[in-house]
Amino acid sequence: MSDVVLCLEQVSVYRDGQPIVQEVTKDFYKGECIGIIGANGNGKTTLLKAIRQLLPYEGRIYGNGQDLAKQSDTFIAKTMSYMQQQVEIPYAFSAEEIVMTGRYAYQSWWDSESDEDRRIVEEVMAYTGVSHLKNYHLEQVSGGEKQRILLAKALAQETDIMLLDEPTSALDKGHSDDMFRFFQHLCKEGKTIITVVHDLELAAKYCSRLLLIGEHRVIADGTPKEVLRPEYIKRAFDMDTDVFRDERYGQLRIEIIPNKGRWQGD
Amino acid sequence: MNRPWFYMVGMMILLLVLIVVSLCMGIIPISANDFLHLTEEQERILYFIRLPRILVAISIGMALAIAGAVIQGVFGNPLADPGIMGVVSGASTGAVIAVALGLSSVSAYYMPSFAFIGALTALGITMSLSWYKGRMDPRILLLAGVAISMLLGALTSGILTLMNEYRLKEFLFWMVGSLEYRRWDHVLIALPSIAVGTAIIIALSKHLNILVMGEVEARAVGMNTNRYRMIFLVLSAMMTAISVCVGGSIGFVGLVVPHMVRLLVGPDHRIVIPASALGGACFVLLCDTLGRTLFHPVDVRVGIMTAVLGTPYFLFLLHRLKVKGGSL
Repeated sequence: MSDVVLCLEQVSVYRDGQPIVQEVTKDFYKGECIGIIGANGNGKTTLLKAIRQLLPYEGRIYGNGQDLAKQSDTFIAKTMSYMQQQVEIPYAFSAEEIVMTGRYAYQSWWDSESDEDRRIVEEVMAYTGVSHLKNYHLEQVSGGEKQRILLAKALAQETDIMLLDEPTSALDKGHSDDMFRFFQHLCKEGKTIITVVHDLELAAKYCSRLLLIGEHRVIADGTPKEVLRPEYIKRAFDMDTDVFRDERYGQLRIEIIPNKGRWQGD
Repeated sequence: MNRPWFYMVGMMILLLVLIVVSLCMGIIPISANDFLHLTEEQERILYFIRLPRILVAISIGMALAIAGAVIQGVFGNPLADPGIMGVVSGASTGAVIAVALGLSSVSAYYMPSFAFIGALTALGITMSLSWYKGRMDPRILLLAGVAISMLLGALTSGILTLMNEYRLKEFLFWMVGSLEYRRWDHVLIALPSIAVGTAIIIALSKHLNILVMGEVEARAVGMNTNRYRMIFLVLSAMMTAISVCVGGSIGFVGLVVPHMVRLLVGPDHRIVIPASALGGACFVLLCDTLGRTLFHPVDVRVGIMTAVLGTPYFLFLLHRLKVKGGSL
């Protein structure tokens, strides 16, 4: 775990002069599954978008050793894939056509898809278990299937780094668990996954490293055990918690202690 | 043969049939048998009147339908119209200025030229308004297009109130969209430029499939969205401008044809664009042929016919949306 694949140096994002996320300096390594956690509105998605060069930022971001701000769209798309929290596609493209868009960076401007592209699309769809849905539209599939199709698209980009923005937000507990188990598998194969995640227990179970964002900056970075401590959680989420290890399954459990006055009317 | 190609071949056959029918029908009917032994008069009618009119109808139909398909792709909105960027209003203002200055009676080229300049000016203003921090915002582009259209509409109306009745009529005839008296001059303006535009858009059509996925999705897979959005908007505006210059304002083609085509051949723009070109050509030629023969001797202008045939389809779509919900 010594290969740095992504490096952030003093990265800050401002909107209308207000800081959304500030001074993030971090290295990310090959094979890590990093969960970005924190309360709403603290800049988790913003940080992910800045890494993917979708937002203007201050500081430097290096992907595979290159300053991404100076790289072409194609280079960045071959370095990192990005999966949005919600995707609405206005026309009835089939799942296969959507996954094929992941090969765009590998095609010249006049070329259509090659046999190689078709082979890779077939492979990633089989890998994520959506081959049987290839002729279906996104409107015709379930939430879990839709996310797996979009994940197949991200995989079709064949990138070392995958940036996922709340990939399980529309999924039930079982499907979320399946999805994260799959992420863990991808990381074992050498991918680096950085994902925004709201479910702290899910993050603790599957992520090898957590970045806790609060007060618009990273307030804790480390293994789930190191980060998910009541004092950090209190700082980031403004809630009192009891964090303990569930001995039956060896998992971290986070129990919220009712906190009077947190909501109006309490 | 798979489904899209089946429809494409069908539309090609339909277009050929329409061309033959349109050649035959008119004040002086020419039967299929006559083609073997044409009189000099029939030859002149075919060569100087019907053939150029048919070619202009086909060119305009192709241009408007492709422009519509492109605009609907760029905005990810199946109900977007080529006039959305103020191009049609700009062309109208240009044309009315040519008429007001009395230039349209000097040469037939003045009105199309002024209309073209007007269209490009409107496009330039709309685009520059939507440019912010090095990126083009499609939402602002839409709103700027509406605002510019309204402003130019007011300007056109203002100039119209100052014109005499003869000139007013001249402009009105142009505005409702007509293919009457279209000659080889018009074919030479429309056909080569529209053919080149069509070829370029077909060559780039795979990029529309990416652009339609939305800004973030398109950039995530490595597209320079700014560059391609700009290219597609300029190309579709040019296609619209050329067709408006030659045939006036012909509505509903860019809205209805690509939509119908998508229902038949699916959403892939590599098929949608050429299929829209064929569909648009068929639609405008059909409307023009019906317009000039149904109520003979009255020549019902093609712009009126496209609206008469297009509106029911549009209302049907709205009804479907109301009843079934979901997407169009």
